[in-house]
Amino acid sequence: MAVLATWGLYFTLLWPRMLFERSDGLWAGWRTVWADWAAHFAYANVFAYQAAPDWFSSHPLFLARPFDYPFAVDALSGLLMRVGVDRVAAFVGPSLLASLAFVALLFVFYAIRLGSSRLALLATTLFFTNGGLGFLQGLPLREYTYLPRHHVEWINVVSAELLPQRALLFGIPLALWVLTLLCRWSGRGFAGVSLPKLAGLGLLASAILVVHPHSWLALAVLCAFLLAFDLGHWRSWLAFAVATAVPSLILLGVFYGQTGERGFLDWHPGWLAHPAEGGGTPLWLFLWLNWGVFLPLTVVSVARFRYDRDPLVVAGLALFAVCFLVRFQPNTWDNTKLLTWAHLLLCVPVARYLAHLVSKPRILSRLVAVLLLVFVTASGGLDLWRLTRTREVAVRMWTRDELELAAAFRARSRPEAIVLCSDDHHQWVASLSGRRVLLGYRGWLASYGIDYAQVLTDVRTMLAGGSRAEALMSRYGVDYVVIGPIERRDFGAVEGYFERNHELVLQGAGHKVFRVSRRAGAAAS
Amino acid sequence: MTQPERPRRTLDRALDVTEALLWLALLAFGTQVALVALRDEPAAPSGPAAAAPVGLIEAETLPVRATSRKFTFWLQPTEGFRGGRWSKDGHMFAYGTREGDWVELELPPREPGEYRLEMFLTKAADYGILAASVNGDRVGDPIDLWSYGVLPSGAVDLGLVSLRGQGDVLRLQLIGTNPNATAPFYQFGVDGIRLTRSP
Repeated sequence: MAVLATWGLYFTLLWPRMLFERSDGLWAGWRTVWADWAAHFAYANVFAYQAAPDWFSSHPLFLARPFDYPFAVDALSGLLMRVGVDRVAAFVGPSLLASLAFVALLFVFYAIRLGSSRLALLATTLFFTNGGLGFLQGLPLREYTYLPRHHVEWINVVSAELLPQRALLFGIPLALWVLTLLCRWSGRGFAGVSLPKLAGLGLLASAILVVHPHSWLALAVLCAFLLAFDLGHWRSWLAFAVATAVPSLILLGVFYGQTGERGFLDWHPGWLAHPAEGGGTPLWLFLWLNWGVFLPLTVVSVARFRYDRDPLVVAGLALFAVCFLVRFQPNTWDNTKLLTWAHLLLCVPVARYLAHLVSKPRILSRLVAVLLLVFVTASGGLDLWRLTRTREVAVRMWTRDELELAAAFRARSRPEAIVLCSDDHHQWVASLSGRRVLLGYRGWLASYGIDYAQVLTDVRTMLAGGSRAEALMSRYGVDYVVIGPIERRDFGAVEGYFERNHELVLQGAGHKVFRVSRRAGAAAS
Repeated sequence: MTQPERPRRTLDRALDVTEALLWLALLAFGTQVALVALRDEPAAPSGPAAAAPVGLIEAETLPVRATSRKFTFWLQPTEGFRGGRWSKDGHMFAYGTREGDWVELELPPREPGEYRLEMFLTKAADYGILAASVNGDRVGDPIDLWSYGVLPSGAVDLGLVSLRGQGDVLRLQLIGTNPNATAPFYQFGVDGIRLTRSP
């Protein structure tokens, strides 16, 4: 109950602030939501506005490849929108429920590991308030867990991951659920656990692959460690592994067959302290600034309480180390998706040690425990408080005019229409209208490992107009061309060419929409 | 209290106090270290963003015509780099590259004629030595991009180039590496170029 009255209440109050509509447009309550949810809207729109057979035919942000993003969470929001639920409710509602489920599961997980609900609440608090020593910068209030010029980049897990990364928000609780069950079964020697039960759990574990592949990977690593410490029951572990691997391989083949034109695994010692990431900060200082006293507490606790015998803590240490050696995605920062798991597991020894200090009879030990707790939680805690100051931190995603333009375009275009436009981060075509674009925001495409160079060249050529543009538009099957401020400024769009040669079908919010294919015309009429 | 318990309790107490004092020492020393590292420094040395040179053409706006083989050439944010500022807080970063690799960028259309070519590059500990050529002709001297930290190079003058005006191609090729460079030795970053009409 205490955890729901604290962290549950916090998320219940926070989520409605994260996305809201006002008379002047659609607003995000935090910069990371502003940044990431533009893509999530595009993914959800596929399920909201496209015909079911077309859902996976092409990526909503890159026409030339299939839709291979972990889609499950955005599919849920999209389907809610399809049955008439408002966009804001379709996104905020499931996120809030997932947060509450996560809080409860995390608490249960810690309670089992630590054997005490008080310690579980402490560990839960340690998890949500991660962050380094940025709070030492003092006033004025700022984002203390993200000070890039000082290489403080282990951003608070709520503000940088649970809020914006919808896949992670749903993936971690699912994996944690599977992990908790496995630990319980393993703890009693798999007594009374039938094969169908193991197979069912394996099926659930494999489903995490389409929700959040990083959590699936983390779960696989943790299971390997659990098995290594429990070799006596290898038959049960093998049954679970097979039950997970078979559907996982099928899902991998179906949904991720083409992922990774650019390397997803890369030797990158030092993570963000690697020289290529900005250099100048030695690894020890990077660790100190980003984790502060959390890591020394972990080491001391592991030694003091023999956590080297605990497979999950050992796994947490191993995950942490691997994240500092290997880059798992083209965007180096994305290793945080796995570091979050390491952090989750290492909160156990840290909570245990802090409780140990508090339990000592001497006031000095208790005072030190309080000081350590402040050092570990202050930056994250201040960032969480700042998240609730909506007036200061909210960012508008789209204006009212853009929302109306997108709705009007959706009403008069076919669901399968293909649109040529810029790759602006907040281009309304993909994010709001639900129509497919040739090229979405390059920052996302690069982080997915998509090689977009040729398409980018072709987009520029097409927006410049002329006979070569017509041939390319015909080849790509372009139905509409959108020309707005970004197309004019950054892509050299020649508006006059389209005005002379194609029909202007829609106009608003500084954008003009031209119909360039007969197919589009037939459908629009 | 029995006789053997007294020394044990004294020892426990001494250990507890030592443990607490060690933590306090770590916090005190660590705070000093962090305060120095987190100090807000004056504005970083001027790079292209700060100087805002007239006529800078962002590297990310130049279409990639070809590469020697498949490697990553992407718009990397530079907000985290402390050695300076890059235009629009990003540069085109090449990694997965090795000696001899090149990328060809198409220059924007302009009046044919002679232009002064300047490049705004990035220097770092694991960057290589870059040679530039325009339409197949080598221009300027090789540029050693090695430095201890990650820094904007500022304007690197490559001299006069003759442009056709349409379809001009700038090739950037990795021709070596500085002996001090660290692995992977052959990366490079381009913030932008500037072409100034020769009078």
